[in-house]
Amino acid sequence: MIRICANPRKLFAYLAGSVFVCIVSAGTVSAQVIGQPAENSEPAFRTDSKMVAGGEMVTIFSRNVAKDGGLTIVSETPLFSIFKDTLDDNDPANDRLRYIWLLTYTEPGFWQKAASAVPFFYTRAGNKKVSGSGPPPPLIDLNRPNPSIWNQVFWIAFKRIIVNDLSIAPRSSILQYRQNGSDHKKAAIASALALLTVYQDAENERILSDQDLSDIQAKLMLDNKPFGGRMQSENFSRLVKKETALTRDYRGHNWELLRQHAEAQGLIFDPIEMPDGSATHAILWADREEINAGSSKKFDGRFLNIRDPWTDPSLKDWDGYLETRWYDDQDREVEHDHPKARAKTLIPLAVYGLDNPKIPVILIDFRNNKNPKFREMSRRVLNDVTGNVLSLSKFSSVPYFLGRFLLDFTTSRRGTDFNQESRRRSYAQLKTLIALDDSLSVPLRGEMAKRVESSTLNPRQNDLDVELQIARLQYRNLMLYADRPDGLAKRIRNDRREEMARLKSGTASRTFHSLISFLTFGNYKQRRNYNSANIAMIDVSRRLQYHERIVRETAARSVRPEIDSNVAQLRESLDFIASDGGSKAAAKTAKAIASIFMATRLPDLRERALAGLYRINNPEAKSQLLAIYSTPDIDDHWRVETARYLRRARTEGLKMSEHDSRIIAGLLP
Amino acid sequence: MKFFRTFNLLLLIFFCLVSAAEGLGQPVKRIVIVKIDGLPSYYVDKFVKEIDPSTGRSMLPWIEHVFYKNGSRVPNFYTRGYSISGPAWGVLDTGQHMQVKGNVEYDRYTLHPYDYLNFFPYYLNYAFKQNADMPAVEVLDQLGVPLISDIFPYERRYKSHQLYQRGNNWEVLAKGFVKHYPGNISDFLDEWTIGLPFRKTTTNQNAHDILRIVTREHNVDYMDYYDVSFDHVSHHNNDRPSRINTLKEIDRVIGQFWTAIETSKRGPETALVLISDHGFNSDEETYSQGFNIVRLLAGAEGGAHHTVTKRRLLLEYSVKGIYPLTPLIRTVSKDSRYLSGQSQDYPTALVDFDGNERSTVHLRNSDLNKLHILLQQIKKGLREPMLSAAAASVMDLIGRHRSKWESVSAEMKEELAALDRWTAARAAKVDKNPKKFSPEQIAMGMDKQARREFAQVALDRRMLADNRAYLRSLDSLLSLKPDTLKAGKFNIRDLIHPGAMGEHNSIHQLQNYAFGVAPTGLVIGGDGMIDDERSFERVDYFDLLISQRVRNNVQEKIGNRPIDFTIARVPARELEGVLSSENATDQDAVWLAGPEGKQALLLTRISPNGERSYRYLTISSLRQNRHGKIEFDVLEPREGHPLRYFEDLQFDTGGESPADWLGRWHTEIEWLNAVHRTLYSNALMSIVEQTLHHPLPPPAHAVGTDGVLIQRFRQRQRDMSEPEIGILANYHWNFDVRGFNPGGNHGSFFRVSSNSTFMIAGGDRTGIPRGLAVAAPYDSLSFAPTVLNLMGFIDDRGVPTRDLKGMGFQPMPGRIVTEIAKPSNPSLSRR
Repeated sequence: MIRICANPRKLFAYLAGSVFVCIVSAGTVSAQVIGQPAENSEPAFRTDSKMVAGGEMVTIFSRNVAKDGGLTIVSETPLFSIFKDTLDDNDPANDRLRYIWLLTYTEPGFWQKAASAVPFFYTRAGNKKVSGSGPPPPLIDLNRPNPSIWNQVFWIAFKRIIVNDLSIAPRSSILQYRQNGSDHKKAAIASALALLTVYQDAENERILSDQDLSDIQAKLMLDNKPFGGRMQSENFSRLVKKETALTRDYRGHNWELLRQHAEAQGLIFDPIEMPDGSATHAILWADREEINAGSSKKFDGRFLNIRDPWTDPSLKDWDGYLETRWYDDQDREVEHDHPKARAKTLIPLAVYGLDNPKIPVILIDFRNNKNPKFREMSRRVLNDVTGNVLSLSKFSSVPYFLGRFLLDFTTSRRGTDFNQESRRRSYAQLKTLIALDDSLSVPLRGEMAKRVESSTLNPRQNDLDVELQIARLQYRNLMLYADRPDGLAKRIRNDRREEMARLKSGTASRTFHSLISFLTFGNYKQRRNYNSANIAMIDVSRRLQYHERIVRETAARSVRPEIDSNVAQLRESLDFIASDGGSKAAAKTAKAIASIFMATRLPDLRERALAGLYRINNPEAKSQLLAIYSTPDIDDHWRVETARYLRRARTEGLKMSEHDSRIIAGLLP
Repeated sequence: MKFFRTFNLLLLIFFCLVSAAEGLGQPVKRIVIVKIDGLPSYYVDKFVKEIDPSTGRSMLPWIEHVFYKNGSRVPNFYTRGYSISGPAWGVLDTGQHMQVKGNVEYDRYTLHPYDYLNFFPYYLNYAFKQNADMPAVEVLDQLGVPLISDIFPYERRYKSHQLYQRGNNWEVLAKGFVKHYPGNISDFLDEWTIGLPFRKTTTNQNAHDILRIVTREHNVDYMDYYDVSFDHVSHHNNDRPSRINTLKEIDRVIGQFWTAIETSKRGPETALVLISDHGFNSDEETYSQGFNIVRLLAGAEGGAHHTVTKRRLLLEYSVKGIYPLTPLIRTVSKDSRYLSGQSQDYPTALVDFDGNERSTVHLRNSDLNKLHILLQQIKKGLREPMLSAAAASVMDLIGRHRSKWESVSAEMKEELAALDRWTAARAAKVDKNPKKFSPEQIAMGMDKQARREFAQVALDRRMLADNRAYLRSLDSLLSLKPDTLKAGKFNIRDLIHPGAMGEHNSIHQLQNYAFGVAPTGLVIGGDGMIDDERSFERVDYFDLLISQRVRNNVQEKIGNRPIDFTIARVPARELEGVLSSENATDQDAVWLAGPEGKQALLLTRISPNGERSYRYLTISSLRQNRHGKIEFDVLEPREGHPLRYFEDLQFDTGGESPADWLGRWHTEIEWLNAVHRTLYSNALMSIVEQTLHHPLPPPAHAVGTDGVLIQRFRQRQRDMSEPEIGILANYHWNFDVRGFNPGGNHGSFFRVSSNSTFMIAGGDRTGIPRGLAVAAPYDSLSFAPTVLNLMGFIDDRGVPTRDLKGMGFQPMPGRIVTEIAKPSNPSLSRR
């Protein structure tokens, strides 16, 4: 679809900004022209849902609203797709979040890969050619145990045994290649998290539940943590809450730090808000009139990390981007026709990311593109030289350890913007901002986009316009792949077969097959036959996990469920566990149920808890029942009831320790 | 007849028994106090009434269950004084008028810092057996003001780690640390990945201990739990999820306590109290913006002061900031006019910025600055006639202060001599204390008592030495001879005591503060002395502070003026003959200076029975001349003056016009009822509480002449630690310089910051009403008497029992919340 904008500024905006804003519809990407003025509360996102391949494919689009006279033009960009395996039914209890495709994330091209193996090649190596019909690579498989810890172990062993014995050139190349690959993935995860956060906080129609979103965020956050892959699901929401609070803490502190320092240096502070209203970035401006007038004030660049603007001759003859704004007598920005409006012509100095630990991280220096890039490179060079060239590890020599400790401590304490992890997140957010924020002027966005690209260190990185083309293309390919019988459907079938195998195998068997899989670079997978019996088994297993999570979460946070929890939901979960499906519940679930029994005073919940403990076929459940029986001040009714369950369990030969079995044998009928 | 006699005797015995039973039959015999720092009542209420979609119940189900449905609450409960922790917990924990008036205080004579919030030195000194109590408790002990927890013998009370901490228990830290391991490796790795909650090590253990004690140790009558997590998170984060998550954790602890109480044997006679020291000014859409008072004071515009703070500026961004023992931080002024390079010896401004919506400032006496400047000039070698003029000015300045300084010197020498004798006697007693204690003695807290006595002696010895050093300088200055002066045979350090701020500045001095030689140099006046008007560089602090503006004005709800108004005391003697007869009072007044010359004067009267009345006088252009005469214009009440009661739509005058109502004196209760819902709520009473002195009778252990003299010295120390200027931040502004507090702040008199939480619930025998929301407003002076009245420790007039009097308790000035303590009172308003 081609749109013609009557307003020349808009026309320019669409031409220049089509890179990131106006997505001309292609394939299934829709763009609409709406004939009525839009409401101010036009949602920033649209969510699309499609039932495919035995599950639900949810795609989130960003929406950009432009006004042209009386018309409002809404354009959309596909951001990411999430596949939820629903086992072809409507019961949310057996659903599993499976894949996330960040649609801008793709495998690098040949030359990008080659360049990423060149030591100290800290720049982009062109873009991937936008073509192909294959499905995009998933950013993460949400349901697969995270292999991060084993990958690290195997990698360290491999590096020690083989890589370190190579000469400098091949060793550096291998390590550089791996580092760039890892960074590329981390950058994509940072982007996905940035987008999800904005999506979650913005007011949108929702298809994904809050818990789904929280689980996705948790999995993304855990992807790079050593023990993240094995985190128990009942702890996901705590993790997300804590990480989110920390990020907001950083953001607020940096917002205020930058404002105060801008104020102290006579500069103009301009926070930029994401579509959800959170200010994740800020621009510092200088008043051209003041620059021309000069200032005798000593400039303190700490935290700002830019050159003194008051003595910089380049600003006196500035021919770069300028913006005129109007301020009232209280220095509040106003429209140009405000009665007290005073015009100021502003020169942009720098853009900062605010989600960085300690201090705002400079992302764009309008006077010196290399400034942020060199800062970005600083730690990378240090790591590459010591690690890739000199093969030094932190623990290889005491002087190096001490020196590195001192450096890390000092830079971290003083907040030197040396932290690539957070800078990566800030860049990802900035790209999101540039792509989504309508409040920035189009020329400024163009200027920012251009400069962001030049700061990139990773040869695997594509530029923003290509990423958005890739997003469109990958979205189309993904939808085609989802519709093909030999596409996503086949993949999901295989995933389920693997899930069946995991359920049927013991620990030793799983370890053995995992090892084979590792040795065959993942080509071998242990799978079971796809039949209705096995599907039924998956169904029961997933439901059990769902209900176990509810029980464990309730036990962990509730003092008395009838006062502080969702009792109806808890009843349902206890009923499930008390049914045949609960026999395989874990020992931890048994402890949780016992704790709920002791906490509640509702007879029906207590009855369900006892039934659940009886049903769970592991010794811990019976130990917990016995512990309840032995509680001194418990009512006789419950003691009798507990004894009944214990005797029945013993009669039926359910699993219990010999010690417990002997005690139960002695219980009076 | 014999029958009647016997009957009368039996009747008498019966009535005696009934009376005794009533006396002993206090409804609450055990109490658990949950102290939450910075928890506003309105914020709790908001979330109690909101439904959590994940459970279908209140967001704070336990607070709702315990206090809203099964207990009583005082929604209109306010901090009295600055809404900051040090003073606020002091009032709550003692039930007495405010003695500790800041989070940090400085002695103007000795620069001794009272750093009430610094836990690390306390723990370190405790580890080395150098102290027993937190500094605030040491100060109260010196003054003879007991804490309400002191009522209970050591073995019958459990105290958490807190600002007013008496004694320490390392077990709490050790066990709390061990409990970070949740019992199995899987859970531990999850906790490790999420981040172990080290900050809550002691708090969680305190909760655990209290749960154990409530259910199993029935001999403990007093327990308190102190949690700063909500205050901490609210300073950092203004977003709803961060704050509500913390609030939910507190709610859960309340649920645990209540459940334990309900199931314990003593449940029916146990009360659970939720109390907070202040509210919080935090807005989800607005970051709180900081304004750096220290930078202002260090700059030439602000007087070029070397400034003392209790914490380093930008502490979190400094490598040196990790050193936790630094008692005083000196920020060097690069613009210092005459003390360049002497910041260690001669700081001239002392700042407390804590709480952050307010700051308080001590400035070195302006005349001391002039003396210092002139002495420096003489020392540099002035030529005649300038030398004679400067010497004459020095002697003139000393002459002007001679009578005051001589009196201070004489009085303090008496006081210090008395303190010396008393300290020597105590030291002899302390020396006889055993060095080792049996487990039984430790269980009774005798080891801590011995350590406490040792620490008090050590502290007094330090006070003696420091104050004597100050007096030596003062005496040297008083004995300075013109010839010595002209000959330059003096050492400035001997005359101007390093670190001393001298006497408080008068209003006139603060309006004409000298901080350097004028750019034109010293000028000789017509009287042959230095021309005071033309020779010194000066600043008017009230004008300077109120005129501050910022240029980056980017948030909708915040203006560009960081400072709302300033507070300064006007001594009663300086107002004699100035106020009309209908406004005359023997109490000091408080001057509030706002922008555009809009000012107010707060007047107080205290009747013989202790009842307070106040008058709010709308004024402008207050000035004091060099002779001490104060002048101002009295205006009709109008908009824009500090506290803005006149224009506040919530100002409840009972139908009377605000101007008429404000035109008269009103009692404290009338004021509280009228203003508590306004933007500044009980600010008027709080400002007076904060500014007036609250002298105390000598404590029981300090009797005789020495006792009186020592008490006079303690009171002098309190007076000398009171700052001269209180600076109040505008809405969503703060003065934090240690770091940044964008989430929100407190400290001001805004209702959001002063509205704190007081809720109570109890077992069946406590008689605490259920489902009661007290409509009437109360302030923090009401907390202790209400709780103690419920426990039978004080009567309905706030008078303590004889036992308590013996422990040093004085009558409590606050109103008992009768709706709770005496629920038969017909003025109840049940929800």
